[in-house]
Amino acid sequence: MAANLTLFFYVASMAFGLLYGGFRKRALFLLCAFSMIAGFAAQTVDLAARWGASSIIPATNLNEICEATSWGLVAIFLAFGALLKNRVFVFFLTPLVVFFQMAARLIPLVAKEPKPFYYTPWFALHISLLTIGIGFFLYSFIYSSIFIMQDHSLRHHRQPIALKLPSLEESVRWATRFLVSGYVLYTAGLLSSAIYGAVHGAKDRWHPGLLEAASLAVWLILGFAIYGWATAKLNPRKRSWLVIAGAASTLLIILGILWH
Amino acid sequence: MALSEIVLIGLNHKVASVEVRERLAFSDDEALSFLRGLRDAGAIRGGVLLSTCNRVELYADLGRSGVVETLVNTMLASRGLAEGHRGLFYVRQGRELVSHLFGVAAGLDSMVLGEPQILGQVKDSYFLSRDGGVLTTPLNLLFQKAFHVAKKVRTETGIGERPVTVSFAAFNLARSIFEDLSTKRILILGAGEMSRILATHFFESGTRQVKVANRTYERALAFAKAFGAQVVPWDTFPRAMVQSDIVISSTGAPNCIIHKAMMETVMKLRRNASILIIDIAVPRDVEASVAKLDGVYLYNVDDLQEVAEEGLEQRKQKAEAARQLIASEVEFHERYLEHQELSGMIEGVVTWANAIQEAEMSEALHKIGEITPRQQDVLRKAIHRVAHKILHNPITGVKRLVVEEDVAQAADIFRELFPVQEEQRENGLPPRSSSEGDGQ
Repeated sequence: MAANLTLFFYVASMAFGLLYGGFRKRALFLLCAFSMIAGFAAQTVDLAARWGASSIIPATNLNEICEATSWGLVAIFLAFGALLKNRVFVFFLTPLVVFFQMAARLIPLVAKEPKPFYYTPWFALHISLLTIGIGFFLYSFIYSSIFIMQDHSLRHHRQPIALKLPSLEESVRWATRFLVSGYVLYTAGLLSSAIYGAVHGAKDRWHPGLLEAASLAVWLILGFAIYGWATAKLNPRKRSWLVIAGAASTLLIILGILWH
Repeated sequence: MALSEIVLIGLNHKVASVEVRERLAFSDDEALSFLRGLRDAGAIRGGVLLSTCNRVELYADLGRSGVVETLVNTMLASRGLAEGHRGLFYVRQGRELVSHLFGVAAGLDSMVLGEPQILGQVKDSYFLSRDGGVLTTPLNLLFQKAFHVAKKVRTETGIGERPVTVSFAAFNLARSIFEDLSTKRILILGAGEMSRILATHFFESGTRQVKVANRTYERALAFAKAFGAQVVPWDTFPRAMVQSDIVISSTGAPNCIIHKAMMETVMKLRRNASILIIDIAVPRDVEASVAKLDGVYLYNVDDLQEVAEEGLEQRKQKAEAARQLIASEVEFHERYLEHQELSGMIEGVVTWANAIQEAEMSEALHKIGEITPRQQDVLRKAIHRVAHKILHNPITGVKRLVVEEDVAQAADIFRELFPVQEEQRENGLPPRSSSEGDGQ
């Protein structure tokens, strides 16, 4: 019931968000925000109930991780949304939330035996840090995409898009903030599982495999984007493409989970 | 709230040349003393005088005795204009006046369609009259409504979103690139008139870090004085570009002065930070291939003109929607005023009925002689109930007609039912006391 309600509210939120992008009416934005809050409440109740019932944080398979990612995206918006002055952000965010919700439902569920690692607080810490970290990367991805669109319209002298999106400078600023914050959390998330593996030995759960390699690839790509930013060796456009590539590389993690 | 007592007399850029408009223009002090003069002479009860470079309009509350001709004569005489200019003035009243003011405030009657400055100018005129004590209630209501409608037009139609002038287009582009223009540094190459216009736009938005370079140092100095800018020697302008975010180039150079190789070096030194180059010179000052560099946004005069024309086209489309919105707001405002009038009428009848009650009560008490306060209270309440019950049906009937949107009929019926003179209603005096009749 709660899961269906979640999807219903998120889809409503996406509809209002897309309409807001077209018509720019305050009422549409408010409807979008309220639907998102309602969906978030329903999803939190659902996740808490499932966590309580199984004693394992519901993020042990790809379906659950997709759902946790959608939860993380909305949680970040609720926490930092007021700082993002540009309301048009919902136009980009809500479809992403619905995408992860749909992925959680459509990907065939592969039931696996729970590992001892899942019952430890390390796993909850690991998953929380990674989910929020990836959430931040996706925010950075959205702002980088906005930058690319804005840059393209300005270069080709197409005024309409340029006027409605945040300025290039604002997009770069937020993309960078989210990228760096996400990188810190993501690194901490990777370290938490590595520490657990080092303490308990590879035979319990942790040993570097396909999933770990995929996670490390994402870490390297985004690390390179930050390096480019810090040294100003890359211009904002190239850096934006790199962030987009980095966010796309999170798909590697999904593949890693699938074949894990 | 008689709207019919308000009149508009004025002329604008569509009917009068700039020579006439500038002769008729009023400063704030002149406008206020003109309005006070008219009021003291009994020509108006109050007024608002809107005087901008494109229009001079007097919105006057004539009360019941004002004559439009007097106002036109006084306006002509006050500025020493010949009688022949009388034909230039337009006069509007009622619905036409309301529609005109709403359109003016929303920028639909402006030379640059949909420009936002006019709303500020209308507000300034309104505040001038209000603070000067020459604003009457009907004018106050009308102008407040005009501000509300103008804001609604801007937000609901988005008429002002797109730029329609080259300088505004350049300014908007800068806002698409930079977050806070007040912290940005501008370099102006060539101290000509177009540079001045563009620089004014940026200066008004709070940009204070302006540098100027010109081949003739003296001209650069004069320009710098006007904007508090810093003068850069002409041959060092490429170095100044490294520290600038916006470059406005408008020199009379026969060939390009900014080349791709030069910009590549500049961009390296800028650590690839974005730069907006506005080249409004003809022939162009900036090589077209410069636009291919990452982080460089180059716009020439044709690009800006194109943006401005697109904006104007869009504004024309949006103006149509704005006019429809204004038409419905005019109707709404008229109905609101009619309702106000009817409410006043009902209130007057109730006051009048209360006055009759009090008079009859005093008469009755006088005839009865001494009674206890409780008996007095019972008697007063009984009389009140009788009056209330008699008035109840006509008042609810009238209100029903109002709900059915037949305000005019409702007012007529109410007047017929209660042929109370306006003064009597306002003062609460009974037309003819029954007790007087009794007493005779």
